[in-house]
Amino acid sequence: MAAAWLAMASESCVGPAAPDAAVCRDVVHRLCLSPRCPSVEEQLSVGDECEDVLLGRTGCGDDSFTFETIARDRVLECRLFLLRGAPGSDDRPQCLFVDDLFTACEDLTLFLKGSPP
Amino acid sequence: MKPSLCRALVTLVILAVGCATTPPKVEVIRGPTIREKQRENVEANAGTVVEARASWPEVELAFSRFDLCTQENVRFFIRETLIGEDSPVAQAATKLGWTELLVGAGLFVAQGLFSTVPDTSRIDSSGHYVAAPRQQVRVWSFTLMGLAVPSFVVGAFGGEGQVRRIEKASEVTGRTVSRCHLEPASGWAEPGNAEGAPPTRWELGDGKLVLSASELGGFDLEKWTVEGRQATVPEETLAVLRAFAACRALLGQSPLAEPGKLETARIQEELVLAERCLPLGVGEAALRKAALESELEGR
Repeated sequence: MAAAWLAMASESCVGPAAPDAAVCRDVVHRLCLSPRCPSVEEQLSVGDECEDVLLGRTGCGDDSFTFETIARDRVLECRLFLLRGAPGSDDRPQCLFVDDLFTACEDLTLFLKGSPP
Repeated sequence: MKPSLCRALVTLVILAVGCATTPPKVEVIRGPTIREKQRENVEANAGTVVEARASWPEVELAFSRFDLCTQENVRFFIRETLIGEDSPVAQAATKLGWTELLVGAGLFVAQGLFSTVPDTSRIDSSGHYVAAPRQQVRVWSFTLMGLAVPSFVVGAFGGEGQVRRIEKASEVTGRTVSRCHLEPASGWAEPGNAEGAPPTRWELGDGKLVLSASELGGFDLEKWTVEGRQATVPEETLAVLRAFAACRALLGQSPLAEPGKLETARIQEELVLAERCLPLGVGEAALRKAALESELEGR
């Protein structure tokens, strides 16, 4: 009973949903953290201005951005690869998991390339 | 609120609650008497007592050094003590309950000190920001206060243990204190000085002192010291000394004034003195009284 109560309390500590633009920027930021994983360049061809390029391609540099070509839940699902062992927004994700993301989430990869999935 | 201050407050509350203990319930049952005995205690050289014997116009004072003997009747019996205590689990649960309740209430009261702005620098796995500090504090205050309920329930119904202790006990059922081992005092005796009288002391012979009425003028006879230590003057001695002082005031002048020459007020005063002197069996006092009464009747 106490455990259930504590679990409920933990859930209640969740704040408001982040806007789509913020979720998108978080994914872009994590992928572009230096030193970047080789697969990022291989898959997305972003050059030195990784974040600017990806924000421009996806459109999520705009605060009013909303996911249309890909579902928000799908982005969140794929983002879990980037959170493994790197929960903080400035924690660089392990390249192994970045590779897994590109493998498992072709739709997100296409979204980041600026192409409709 | 600064995190260090918050931590200090929480620690304080936990310590205060943790250190508080519930006094155990104690029941004492008196068992059967095993035996009774008398116990004696002697306080050596406890003081000096004065006895007086008057034989007008002299008074004999006997000073005796004494010990104080205390006799106690002591009863020994079996005493059974039952100490009821909450079980360790119940005690711990109660303490935990208080801690949770107080910390929870403290957080609830202090929630206004925390920000209402969510932490937008972090997005969790479900796509939500981290809740605002005030929301977190409020939720945890409710959680802690809620958790106090089961803790108190366990504390209240968590069981009770009882420790039984049987021991031999004693109580004093009676006590008599008396002067004992009386021996004649030695050294010098000194009466209390009446105002203006010079200090006087007399050497004791076998603890005794025989003084004439003329020697006792100007002293407070109710206070005596022997070798500088206050002597005990019992009530019966005081009665004799007061009567002797009355005799001295009545018959001390020689020759006695003729009643016919005395004022009525003086006659009445002397009658009072005669009344006080008579218990000593002084014949002169009886004669004087009769003469005074006769004079008073003739007026």
